[in-house]
Amino acid sequence: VTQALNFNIYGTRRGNHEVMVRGTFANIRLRNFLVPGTEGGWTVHFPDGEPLTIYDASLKYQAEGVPVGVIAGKEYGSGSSRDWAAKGPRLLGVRAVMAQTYERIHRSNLIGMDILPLQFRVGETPETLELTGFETYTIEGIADGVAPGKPVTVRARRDDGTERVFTAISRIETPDEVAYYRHGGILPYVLRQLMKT
Amino acid sequence: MVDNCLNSFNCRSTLTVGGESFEIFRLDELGRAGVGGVSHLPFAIEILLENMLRHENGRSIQKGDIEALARWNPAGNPEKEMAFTPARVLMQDLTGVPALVDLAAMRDAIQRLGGDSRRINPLQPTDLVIDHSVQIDRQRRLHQAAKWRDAGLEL
Repeated sequence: VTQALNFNIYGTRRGNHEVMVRGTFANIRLRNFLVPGTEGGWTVHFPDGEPLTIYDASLKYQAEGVPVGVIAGKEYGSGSSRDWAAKGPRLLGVRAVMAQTYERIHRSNLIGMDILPLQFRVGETPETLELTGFETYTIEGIADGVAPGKPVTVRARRDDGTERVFTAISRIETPDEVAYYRHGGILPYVLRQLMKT
Repeated sequence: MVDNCLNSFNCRSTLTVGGESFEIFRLDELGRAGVGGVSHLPFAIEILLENMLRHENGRSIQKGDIEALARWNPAGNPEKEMAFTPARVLMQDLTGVPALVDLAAMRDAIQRLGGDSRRINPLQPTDLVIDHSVQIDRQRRLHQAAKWRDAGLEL
């Protein structure tokens, strides 16, 4: 067992996914609107509503086969470390992010890790769409193929069965990004290219 | 030699220095190709332009991308991203280590798929600087070199 004194900084553990995935979304100033009044890497597990760390909740969701998403505001991904900021969420089971705007490089890195970056239309926010994060989301139109700037339909189903349906923009921007996303990220893409030749 | 370069503007040329030949991409050919002169461009844009000419593949770098950059307008507010293909990579310690781990994971994966793990390598010359993560457990003690050697560290 590693004593707390020897934990060192995340930087020295960046080769260790077991550490880094637990550190993803663990910033002590992070405020998740799903768990008001908390700071740090907390969330609730649905449908039971149990408050858990994001890592523990992700283990439960992965065991249940439930993909998860992130709903965010502006400049999502700003100040993030580029090596783990997208890989960590992917290992937590995140398959899509919905944000008002993205930090430029993080948006591309999400695609490299097979996470779909969706953007609310101009003038729309989680607030104007009355999204709380307590809905079940369906993103339509991805299996037909992705293309730069393609609009997709998002259905947010509330517990009472009512739905909020809105259009979001797929922020897959370049032909390379389309190829990465189709292959499940940049690493499978490169592997398959190498296996072909 | 850039084999898959489309060379749409016929900029590819050879420069011979001291008996050695180098493949170059001549920016002045862009003027002759009807794109317009580029001599007024800042040097940094010229470097990016040369990089795009060298790696034009019709997919991630298309003819139109090169023309757009050649007509760079300092007052413009472009929203489009441009491709850049590094010729060398210098990896910083803390962020370079995960890249090594990814390469190792890909070697495992290609082996599982029945491929040759030796094919997984950086495509560009790559250096990794280890400085931040160097830790000093002992210092200024006698026979330090011998202790390091005993610990398996070569000096």
